[in-house]
Amino acid sequence: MSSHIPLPKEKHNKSKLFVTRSHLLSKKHEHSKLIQTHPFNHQITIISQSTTVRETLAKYIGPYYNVTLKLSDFIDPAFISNYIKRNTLIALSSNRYIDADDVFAIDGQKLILSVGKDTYETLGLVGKSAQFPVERGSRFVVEIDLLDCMDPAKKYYQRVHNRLNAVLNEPVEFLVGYFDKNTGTPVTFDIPGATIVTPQVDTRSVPNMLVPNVPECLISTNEQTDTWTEHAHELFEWIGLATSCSQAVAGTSDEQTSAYTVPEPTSKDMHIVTVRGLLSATAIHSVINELVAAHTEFYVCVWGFDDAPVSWNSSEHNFYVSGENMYAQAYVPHKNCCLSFQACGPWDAFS
Amino acid sequence: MFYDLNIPLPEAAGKAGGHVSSQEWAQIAQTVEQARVLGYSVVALNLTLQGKLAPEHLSVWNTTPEFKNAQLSWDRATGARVGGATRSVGRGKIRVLRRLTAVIGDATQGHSLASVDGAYDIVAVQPTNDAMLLAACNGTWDAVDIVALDMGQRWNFVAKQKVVTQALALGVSLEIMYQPALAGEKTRQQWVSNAAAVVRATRGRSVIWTSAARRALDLRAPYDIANLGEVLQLNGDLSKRALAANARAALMHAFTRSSTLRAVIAPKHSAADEPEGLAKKARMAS
Repeated sequence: MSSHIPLPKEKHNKSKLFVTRSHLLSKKHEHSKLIQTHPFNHQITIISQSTTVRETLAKYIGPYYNVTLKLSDFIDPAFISNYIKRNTLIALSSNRYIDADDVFAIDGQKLILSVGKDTYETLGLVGKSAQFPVERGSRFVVEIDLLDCMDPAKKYYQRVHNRLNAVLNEPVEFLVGYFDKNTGTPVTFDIPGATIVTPQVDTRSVPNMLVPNVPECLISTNEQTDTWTEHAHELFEWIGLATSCSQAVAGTSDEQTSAYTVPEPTSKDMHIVTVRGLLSATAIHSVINELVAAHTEFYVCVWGFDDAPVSWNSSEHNFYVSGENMYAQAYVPHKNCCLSFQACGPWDAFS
Repeated sequence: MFYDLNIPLPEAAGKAGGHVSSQEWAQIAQTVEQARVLGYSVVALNLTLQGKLAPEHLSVWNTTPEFKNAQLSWDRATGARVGGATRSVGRGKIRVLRRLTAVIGDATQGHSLASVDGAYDIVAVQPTNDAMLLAACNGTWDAVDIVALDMGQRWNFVAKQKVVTQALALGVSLEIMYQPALAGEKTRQQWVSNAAAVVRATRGRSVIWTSAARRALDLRAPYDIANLGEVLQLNGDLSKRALAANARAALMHAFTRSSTLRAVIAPKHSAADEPEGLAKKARMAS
């Protein structure tokens, strides 16, 4: 096809991968911030030699809930004082697509309404034009701070309550996670009508798995030379293959069908544990802290919901032709090093 | 929301005295249901007619069956339009609109479109020569929302950017239907050439993707269309826009043209005018 068609350039049309090297004892805790600022997670995979990963995960990760509620129920003062203020409540509307439907979420503090133009024009609440789609004016985001100004005597509360009841008054299905603020362990969510859902856990042992040695240049420097970038790409590629239990890293693939080779491989007996459900960022952080304390190398992959309205640091997120917002981390505790890979889709304000 | 503004009625329905049989309606209903499953929220059933519009062309809609999980923009009993242009129909449902496409070979045929006003949700014209394309694009006929071009056939005119730009300035959209891209080899070749010409002329703006699907198997999901757009150098964003925002804009253009006074005043439809309200009125009257 001819390349002379002067179509407008798009700023956000490519996925991006951010690679960060952080020191485990550093005060910045970059590796921790990456985990704790990503509220909507639906899958975690840990690859480790340890046989106790499943038990560690079971200690912190537990059930979540399916519940059908009206949006005005979330701003009810009794709900806020009983649930939002006491612990961390994460909620995401289920079976709704961020690029086609109105999506609602709570990230622990704010009620986020990501709505289309038609809904916003009748909603009557002040929001801002969404960054995505790139053409402004087709999607809007309204944020309601549940910890502030939700006093029934105040006009702001009355207006929000009236507009939600008038426009968005249909009950919405939510995935709700209710977690302890400090540890991320699940807390009982005793709303009437809530159905408890147990996360799905898969465990797989791979004997003699080909595991790459984390190159010294990745651990010791941050200088992004071509070699550094190449090694980082190779490590991220290996982590991706390992989480999908590829034959190429299990050492059982045929040379005729796979040209992939693990860089500087070492043969180790590894265990791959995957948990699927609504996962608390704090719980993931607690699990990782415990694994770091055990001083064995391990790899973590966490996937965010494709249809979540926000990704890291409340950055706006949308679905282009993919809605990836996942991260992978390689921990080398004996060298106090963590390599973090953040993969953002094209329509993610974090990038 | 994703829109598909072209699910065609059988060709025979566009002729004087034409009608749609119950089998054909069943096939259309299946197509509409498949569109809902694929993620479309709004579809338009398209009546294509040759020549001048006559009142009997509206009788085609008298035999509309009930569509499952769908809300029609017209009352099945009376044929009158109901509701607003982009009214939400709720989760799991699909909104069905009425569209008219007039194949225009003569300027006088275009003027008869004014009599359509209010009966159809969207009005499109399919010009057959340079002069009609110019007339469709430069506002000669007020009642035009979409310029449809036959994507599977060789055109005897050129879609020039100067002409098309006039349409874009008036808020008229250009349609790319993807059904010919799924047909035979020669039709596909012609489709690529024609669609590329439309993209070149419009620079990717104000283009709407439609299916022109005569059966459910001819429909494709919105993300498949976004991938198909890459062939035409329409990146994912522009393709999704063509399926969503641009289609909505075409719908709003039609609503503004037919149901508002100078785009300032629009009648507010009361609850009595909703399909359920109209049925209740009919019951109370009988």
